[in-house]
Amino acid sequence: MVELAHILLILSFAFSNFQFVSSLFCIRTNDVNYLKYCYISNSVTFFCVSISFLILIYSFVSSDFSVKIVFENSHYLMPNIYKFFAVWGNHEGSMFLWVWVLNLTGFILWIWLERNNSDIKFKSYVMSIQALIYMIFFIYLLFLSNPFSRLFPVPMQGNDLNPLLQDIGLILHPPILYIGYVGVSSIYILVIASLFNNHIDYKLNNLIRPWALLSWSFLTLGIALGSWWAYYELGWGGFWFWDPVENISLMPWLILGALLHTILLNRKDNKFQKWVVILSIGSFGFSLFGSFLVRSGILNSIHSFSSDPLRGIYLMGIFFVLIAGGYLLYAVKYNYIFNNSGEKQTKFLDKVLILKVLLILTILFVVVIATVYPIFLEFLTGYKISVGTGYFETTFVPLSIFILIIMGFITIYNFKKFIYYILIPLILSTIYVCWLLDVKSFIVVCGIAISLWVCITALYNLKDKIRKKSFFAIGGLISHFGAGVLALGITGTTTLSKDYIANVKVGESKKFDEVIVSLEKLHTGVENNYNFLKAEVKVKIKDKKYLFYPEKRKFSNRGMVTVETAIKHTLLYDVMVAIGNIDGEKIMIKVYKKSMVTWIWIGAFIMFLGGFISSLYRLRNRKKQ
Amino acid sequence: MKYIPFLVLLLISILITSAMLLKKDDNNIQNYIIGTKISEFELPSLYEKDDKFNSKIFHSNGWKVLNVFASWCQQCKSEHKYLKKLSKIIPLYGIAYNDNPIKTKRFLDKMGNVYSSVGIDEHGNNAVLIGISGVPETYLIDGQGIIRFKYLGALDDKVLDDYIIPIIEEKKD
Amino acid sequence: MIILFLLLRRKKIKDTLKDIARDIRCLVCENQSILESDTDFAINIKNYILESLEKGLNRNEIIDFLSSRYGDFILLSPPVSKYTILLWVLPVIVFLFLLFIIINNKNNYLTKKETKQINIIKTDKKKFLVWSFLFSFLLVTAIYYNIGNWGMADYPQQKILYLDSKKNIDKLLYTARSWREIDEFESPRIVKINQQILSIDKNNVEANWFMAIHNLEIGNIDQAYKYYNSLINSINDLETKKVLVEQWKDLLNSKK
Repeated sequence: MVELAHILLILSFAFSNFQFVSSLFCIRTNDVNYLKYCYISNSVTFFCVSISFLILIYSFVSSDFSVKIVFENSHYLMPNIYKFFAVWGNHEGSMFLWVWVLNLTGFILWIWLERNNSDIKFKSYVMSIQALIYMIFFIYLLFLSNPFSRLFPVPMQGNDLNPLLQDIGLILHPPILYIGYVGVSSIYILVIASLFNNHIDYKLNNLIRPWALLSWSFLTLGIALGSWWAYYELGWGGFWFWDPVENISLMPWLILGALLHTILLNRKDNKFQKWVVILSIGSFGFSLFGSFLVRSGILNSIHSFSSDPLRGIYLMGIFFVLIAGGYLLYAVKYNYIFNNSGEKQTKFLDKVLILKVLLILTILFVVVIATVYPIFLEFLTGYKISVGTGYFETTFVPLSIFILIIMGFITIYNFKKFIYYILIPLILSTIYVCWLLDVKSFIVVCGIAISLWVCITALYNLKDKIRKKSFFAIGGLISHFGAGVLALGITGTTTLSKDYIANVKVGESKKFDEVIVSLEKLHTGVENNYNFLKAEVKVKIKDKKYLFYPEKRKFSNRGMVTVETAIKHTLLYDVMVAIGNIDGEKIMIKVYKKSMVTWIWIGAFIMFLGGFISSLYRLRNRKKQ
Repeated sequence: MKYIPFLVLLLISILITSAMLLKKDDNNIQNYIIGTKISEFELPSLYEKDDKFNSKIFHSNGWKVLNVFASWCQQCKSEHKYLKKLSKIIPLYGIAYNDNPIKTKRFLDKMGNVYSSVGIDEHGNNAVLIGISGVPETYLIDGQGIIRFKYLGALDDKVLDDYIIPIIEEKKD
Repeated sequence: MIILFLLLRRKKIKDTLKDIARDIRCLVCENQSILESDTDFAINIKNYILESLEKGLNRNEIIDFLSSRYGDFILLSPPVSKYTILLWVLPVIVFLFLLFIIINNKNNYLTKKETKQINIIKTDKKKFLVWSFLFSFLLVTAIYYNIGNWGMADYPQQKILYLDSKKNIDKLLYTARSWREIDEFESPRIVKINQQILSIDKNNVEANWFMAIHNLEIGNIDQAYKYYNSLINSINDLETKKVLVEQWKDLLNSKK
């Protein structure tokens, strides 16, 4: 079975070679039949890769330890559901997932393109670039990161998956994130094909837009899922750590945001067509650069896979050829990028959009430099620094606040309407929220007001667009609303959260301002493969009482000690309770009250919905300009 | 102007590739502290009841090695044979970090005491003064008390042959 | 009055401690500050900060001392020094540069729509299909022939044909170790794996040592010495050699 899967993968590689050759013939001869061979080849490739992937999943589920990655990442006793999804908890498997998603998006791309009536030369260029990218990744998968590497004689038992990964987060986070990372390849393919085709105009923007929206929304959701997973897994209320890998996922997200707004900016006279090209190539560039940084071992992080220098060199090579090559092509075909001769834009709103794009790109650069600068500094001078939260607080945060403020200027407001429909609701809602959360600091009031400003302006414009029946803008406004909610959640968590640490014996309680923490009982016991210490903690906040059962577990085989935090979610705050140090009779109970955290996840999900709805809508209907 | 994106990418690719190929330094070598004087500290001595183990040792003539260890530390067991090797060419001094003195003595009895003198920091209060972040750690200190090399983690042949021994050899010239 | 003063001072010290602790990295954790962590290291640092504050040191002095002992890496926000000033300067430069490009954005207007003539060049499709298929598959086969190899192997209850990269010692060592946890020390299966390892690399320490001990156990003294000698001769490190020689002596003595 596994041999079959391996052979299917090799066949897929061969077929993508065939697709490449066939597409070149089509470019040369303009004969539609060659294009059809490309389509057939692409479909067969997708089919073969899918079957191969399914067989690999089957190997995991049936605990076939003759497959090396199954041996390294699974165990007979592991719960079935994790066996199923452990496929992508390791380097080779996650690369395979990447390739599969690449094939999926490629498959959808040609079907969609066929229905959209572009000229044959363009379509054949698309198929050729696509085939080239397929080949590049198949080579990486088959020769540098082979998921079907075998072990003979077959080992008896596997090594087990890292307990931190045995979680629902593992199931959801990688595939969703990968749709975002890989989706940008479609944008890249479309742009490079257009460059080779010697003609870029506004039509390209409409082609790119649905894919950019799709990638962006899945990246939003994927990043939020990763953050949520870290939040409840690590159990002390942190949800963003400015970890290099987190920053890497933020980069394509930011540049896609800039791209989407540039496309919007181009709607009238298409003045910034060149920017669209540069940003599109850049999006794919960040996606590739990100995988390079994570898989080459140049970073030391909890996310990094085990490193192999050859992998790093190959990925760097791909990055250079595709991205530097893409930009070289851009410079060569510079004169084929056309703007519309239309009305000159001097509108205020377009200036706002330009400012927004500028700010997003500046933030992007801040994140890039924060990730990359320490590496270079150490390489050039041997001096080690760490760029942590402090740096981002002085750069990222002020810039984001600036962006949030200008996000409200979506249309030019009629003065009266502005007062009644925006300013007054804003003041009232700010007062209400500050009262609910017991806000005392002026800075926090401002933060809340700015977040609510984004929400209210989005809602106002949403109502307006629905009234005018212009459905195309709705997705974007929903995302704006979501961004406001997200900002509200982040403001709340970072400024209004409180920690309460009580060193108590069993039966004792400690009183803080409005919170009482009592340690009621303590159990010890043994479960499957660990010993545990479970505490019963009662927390009283104002007049609400909550009961928690945090645990401390010691695993017998690895000797690892894990802390299981007990969490209670409410809309206004989350309460997390964990067991800390034990000093004789006194147990340290740590209680974290995290205000408004749930709104972060809600806001991110709304952002995802807006982008996703918009992308689906645009995939189905192409707006004539 | 139109070549700017390409040139930027070219520059970045070259920088990163060279950083990748030339990056050889061990992450555990702490360069920032080289050239600074070891802090003043005083700890109870492990074996001599009334004596103290303090930083004055490092201000007398001759180069010395300070090794931070603990009985509960697995890596300390594996680095022991390298410490033995090192003790033949340079005097070793040890600090037991966050350790129970009885357990430390037992550990040294079992593994063999390679140190000329051992101090004990039971609760780690002096660790910060010296700059200890964990075990094992090894410092190479010269006759004036200046730190010449600091390594985090268990010693092995590579660290000894590539770094510590060459520095010691050099000073003999 | 004095008590009130002391209590207030205590609170102030506690707050300053939290403030400083928030900006110090826990060196043994993953991206946590020492405020958030309660590892031994974090506790030691917090105690140090507390003691220093009670002695009357201010924030800067404490942070300076910590970074002199632990390096600037311990600071969660990079200090503003000649090394790091670029971190703040570069974004400003980038913003201004982008602004400059936008202001100087040149237009390339599309004057007339080019109507492209699509000339279809006739080719022989059958020939194409045959040749390109052949090309693709031969290319791939050639590559794989050089990288991988086919082998027959023992899969539980059957012999199977498989394709994989050349036999790898690491993989064999994996399997040997994993079987050792389940089987007894001298099981034939494990012996076979070790022989395979030695057939690839006759100097492999682990395998030679295993085979030496195994042969000693089953009474093949000559064979045992053969492996033992091959092992000792291949080791350069004196310390390791000494350790192994002693262990061998112990084993011989226990056999008598």
